[in-house]
Amino acid sequence: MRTHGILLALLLAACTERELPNAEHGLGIADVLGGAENAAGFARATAPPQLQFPRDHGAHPDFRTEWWYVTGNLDAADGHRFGVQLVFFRQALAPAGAPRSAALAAREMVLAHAAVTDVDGKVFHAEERLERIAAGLAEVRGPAPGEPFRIVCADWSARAAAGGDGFLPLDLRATGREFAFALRIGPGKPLVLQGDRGLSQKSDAPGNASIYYSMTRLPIAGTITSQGVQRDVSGQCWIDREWSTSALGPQQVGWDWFSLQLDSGEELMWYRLRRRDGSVDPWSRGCLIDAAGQATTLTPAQVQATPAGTWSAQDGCATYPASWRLVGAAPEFALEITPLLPDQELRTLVRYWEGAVAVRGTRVGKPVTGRGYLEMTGYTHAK
Amino acid sequence: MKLLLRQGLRHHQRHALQTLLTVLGIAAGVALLCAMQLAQRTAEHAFELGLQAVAGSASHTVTAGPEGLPVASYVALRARLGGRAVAPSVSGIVRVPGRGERTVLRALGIDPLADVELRPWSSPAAGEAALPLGEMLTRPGAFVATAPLLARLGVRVGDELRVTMGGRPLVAHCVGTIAPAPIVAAGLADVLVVDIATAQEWTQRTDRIDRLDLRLDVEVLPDGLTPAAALAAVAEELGPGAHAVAVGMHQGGLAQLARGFRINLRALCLLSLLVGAFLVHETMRLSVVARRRSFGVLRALGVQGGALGRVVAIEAGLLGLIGSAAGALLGIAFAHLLLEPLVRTLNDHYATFELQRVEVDPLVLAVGVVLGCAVAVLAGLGPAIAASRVPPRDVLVPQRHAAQSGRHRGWRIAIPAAALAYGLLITTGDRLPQAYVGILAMLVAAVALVPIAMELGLRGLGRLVGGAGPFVRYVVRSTATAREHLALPVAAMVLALATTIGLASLVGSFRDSVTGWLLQVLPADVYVSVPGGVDERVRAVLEPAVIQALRQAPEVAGLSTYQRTRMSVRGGRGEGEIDICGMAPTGEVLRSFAFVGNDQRTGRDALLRGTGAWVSESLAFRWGLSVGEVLVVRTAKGPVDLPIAAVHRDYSNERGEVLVGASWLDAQAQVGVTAIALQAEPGTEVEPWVLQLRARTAAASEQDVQIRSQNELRTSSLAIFDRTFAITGVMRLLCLLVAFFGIYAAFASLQLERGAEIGLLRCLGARPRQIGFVVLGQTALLGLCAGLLAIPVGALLGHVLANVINRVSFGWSLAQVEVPASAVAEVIALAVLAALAAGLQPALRFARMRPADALRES
Repeated sequence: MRTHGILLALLLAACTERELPNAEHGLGIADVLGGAENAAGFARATAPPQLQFPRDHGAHPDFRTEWWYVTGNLDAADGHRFGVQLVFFRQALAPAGAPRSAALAAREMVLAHAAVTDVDGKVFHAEERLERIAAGLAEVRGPAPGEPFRIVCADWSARAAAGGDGFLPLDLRATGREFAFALRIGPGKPLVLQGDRGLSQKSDAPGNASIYYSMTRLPIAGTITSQGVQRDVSGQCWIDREWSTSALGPQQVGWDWFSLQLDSGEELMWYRLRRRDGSVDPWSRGCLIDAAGQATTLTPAQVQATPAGTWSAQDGCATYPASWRLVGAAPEFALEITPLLPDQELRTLVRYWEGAVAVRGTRVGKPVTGRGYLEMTGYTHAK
Repeated sequence: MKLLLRQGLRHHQRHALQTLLTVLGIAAGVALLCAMQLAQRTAEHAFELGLQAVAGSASHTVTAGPEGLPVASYVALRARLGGRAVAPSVSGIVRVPGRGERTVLRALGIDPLADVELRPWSSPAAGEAALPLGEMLTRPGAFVATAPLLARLGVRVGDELRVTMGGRPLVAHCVGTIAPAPIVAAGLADVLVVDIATAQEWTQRTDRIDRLDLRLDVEVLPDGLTPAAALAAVAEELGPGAHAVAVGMHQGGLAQLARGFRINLRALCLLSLLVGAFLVHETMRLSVVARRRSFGVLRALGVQGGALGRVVAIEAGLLGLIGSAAGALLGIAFAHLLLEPLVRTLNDHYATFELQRVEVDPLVLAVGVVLGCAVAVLAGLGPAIAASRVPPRDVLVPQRHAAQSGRHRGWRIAIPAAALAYGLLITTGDRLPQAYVGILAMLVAAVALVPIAMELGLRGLGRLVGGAGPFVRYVVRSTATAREHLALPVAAMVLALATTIGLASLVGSFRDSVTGWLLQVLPADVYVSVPGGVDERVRAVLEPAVIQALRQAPEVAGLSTYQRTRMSVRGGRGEGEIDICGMAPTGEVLRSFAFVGNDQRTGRDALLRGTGAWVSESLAFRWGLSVGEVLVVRTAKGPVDLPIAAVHRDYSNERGEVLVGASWLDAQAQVGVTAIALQAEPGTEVEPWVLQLRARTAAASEQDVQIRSQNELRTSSLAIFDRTFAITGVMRLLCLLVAFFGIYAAFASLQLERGAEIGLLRCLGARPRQIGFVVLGQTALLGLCAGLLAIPVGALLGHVLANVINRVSFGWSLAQVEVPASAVAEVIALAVLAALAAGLQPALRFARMRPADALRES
């Protein structure tokens, strides 16, 4: 769910004053990238898919938009805490057409964001890469027999290691101006199909849906360099995979997305879509995954997310909730979600807040803690 | 001091016309200077903006000769440097057929996704002006352009635009407008911005990149990579053929062409300013002479000589200031006149930009004003010193104009000045300032000789008119008597007129040399190429089908091929991107080249065997190359040595070129055939044959090919030459204007000083008509003197401009320098007419004046 909006916003990034995505600007974006009304020629998600793995870990070029989204919380041996994010978006600019002779001709591009939250160093790094899929500038290959999965965008990559299932173990590499990481994700809890057996409906319009699955708790380890110091780190990460063709509804102006790993062995995912009038969109969804990997779908009737306080970017162009309280009745939970650093805003082409959070609260009356990631979009405004 | 200044002001008020003319003289000189600088700056700035729009905030630029860079190397480099430090581009010239003269545009292929850091205007974050990425990337032929360009082309978003590149028809689709910052928009005024893939397809270089712009600073490089290490990575990934140059070090072609202009034009401006200086000197001198009596009185009353001198100097400075300020404003108007021919010339050579407005740089105007004032003050210095030395007793002693024994002083100045000029000009080499000083010394010598020449001439004329009427004799003798006094203004006019003769002589001789050269170097009957300017020709390759059709055409007796490309070359004291042309010539074509003094046969053999190259005269001069030295050419395989076997004469490319055998070039790089010369079987009629060849190539390929007979090619070459020098024509006109003003100003004021003399004549019974004759006769005589004396000085100046200044500017030497008769006639007519015009007002005034008033006026 979450990244759909990011792509929309990318197009919106257009607006230098970085306004909220809204119908007016959304149209402009749609023009730039060929919006939802130009979905002709692309596949649509209309029924629960028959997914096959590892094949479906790879690209689905018939769909317009697709992403590989990794977020994780890691610790160094000396107790230094880190959050890490690496995401690759594949975006088709046009349906497949006649072949072209130019080596750099492309109909798809890859946008990548990488971020490191150096919690104890109190610094947040974020950068992006944008490349066309042509001549190896960016590419998505495999997994196929003899060809493990890999996605590359300029100097950043995620490559399946040899000897795995074609997708995991997955090696992540990214170097920015003041950070670098080289991490390996190993196999962990089984993947979870979101929505209706993997079909995640986005709004009332039929076909306005995505194929969506998550890998909610996978071991991750390697090195992270921040402030000139390289450390060995290990921890847990979360992978989201989603592909679709259509965009957000015109009334949906932003969202808050939670991916929380509780030390009870459970994971909680919740995305809260906000409508233009400030209300919560009825298509907001989530799920609770038990320690065995069994998922229970959550709807707005079951979950209440309440923001508390505000944090403003220094330039005054965005104001986000400073923390959250997430309460569920059945299943029962009451969680306080606090960012590990207040400023984890990605001031990239698209401006949004995505960062590592700490979780504290109760689950069925018992105290529980955890780590996780929070994404908040649509909070920018004119100064 | 105030009192003295007020007195000066009254003097100038009384002599308003004279003062006005002086101001005009200075104004004209300053105007010329400012106009030239403004036009030049505007053109240069536009060119720089174009470069900047392409290069963005790059710190380095990488090019790699004719073959460009393989896409794979670029991709590898990008992965090493991170995605933010490298932006690729591919560009080519496109023509829009059937849209009048301004149909040449540049297609700039960029990767908007890669450009975020380097060309912010093209990045997806460019605000409202963001490019329509989807369509640009995925639709072949999609382009965006600035709104003014679209309006000029009559194209709207959604329209199709038919263009050609290298003669091949292409379809372009307008998918949007761009509205970057004005400074970038100026650089994109003649650019179709396309996706790099479209540019690859249009240029048929589908797996190549023309150039990379790099931003090697820690702001954008990945963690741990220093700019130096990044530069090393560039060399490593791109191989020996690529060449990274720091931005700013990169000398555009315009800079070189413009240099030629600048040098030629600046010489002219300085000359015209010199004329202005003479005018100031003359005015101030006359004003000192006229106020001599009052100065004497003041001195007798105890005023210090120094104070008087300062007043005169301040007056000169004020005149200079007023004149310069007016000149600066006039310069803006003149600049518009100059811009048009300048831009047209640049477009002949380098394609594509359009300029409607002169950019007014206040600094240029300020420099003009300061220079004008400085010249005026310097020119006023002599009279100021004279004023400070007026002895009080002079009040009682009536004085005629202070005449000194001019003849000896003339020779005393002329001989050393001439010797100095000769010495400087003969050893100029490429030192331009030395050439300027040499010219200055030469002109000083000429000016010093003017009184002597006038004396001799008038004495001779006096004998000739011995039997003529009394008023004719009076005109000649009175002029001869006053020659010391008249010599200086005449000298100033000689300078102004000589300048126009010198220019005419330069351009005329140049044209003759080019014509002669064209006759010699076009031995074939028919020439085939892709239409385009110098820059376009480098990559406009003839399609194999066209070449095949020509090879198999009937009545072809001989076929020479040319493969023109541009490579990075080093040699002598030079280094840069130079045109290299690989030839496979027939014997006749080979023999047609004219060498600059060396063994012809050895040179030809070396070229054919691929063991040596020919270097054009202009390149040899600029880089200091001679036969036997070795050029180093950067190829994809690394640097290759290329010995120089000959220096050949060539007026076609002032940037210079290197000719090599086709075998040598083929071994270094893959370059297609860019031109073909065909010789017909004896007895073939050329014009019908050309039509036949055109039909053959049209049937063989869609490519738009230019097939021209020797005659047509010669005509069009001369047309380009004429356009190139059109700007000199404009300058010459402006110079004539200055000369006219100068003559008018100086002679009118001279005549106004003759009140006493004329009054006496009236008292002696001369009629108004006869008075008119005396006044007009003298001005006409002086005009004639100036005109006649300007001929030898102009011829000399033309010679120096052609063989010294021009050689430094372009590196071309001329076969012969001659003075065109038309220019001489023009100058003499102008001098006499201006002189007559100058005499008109004083003649009328004196004729109407009562004798007593005239006497009193003195």
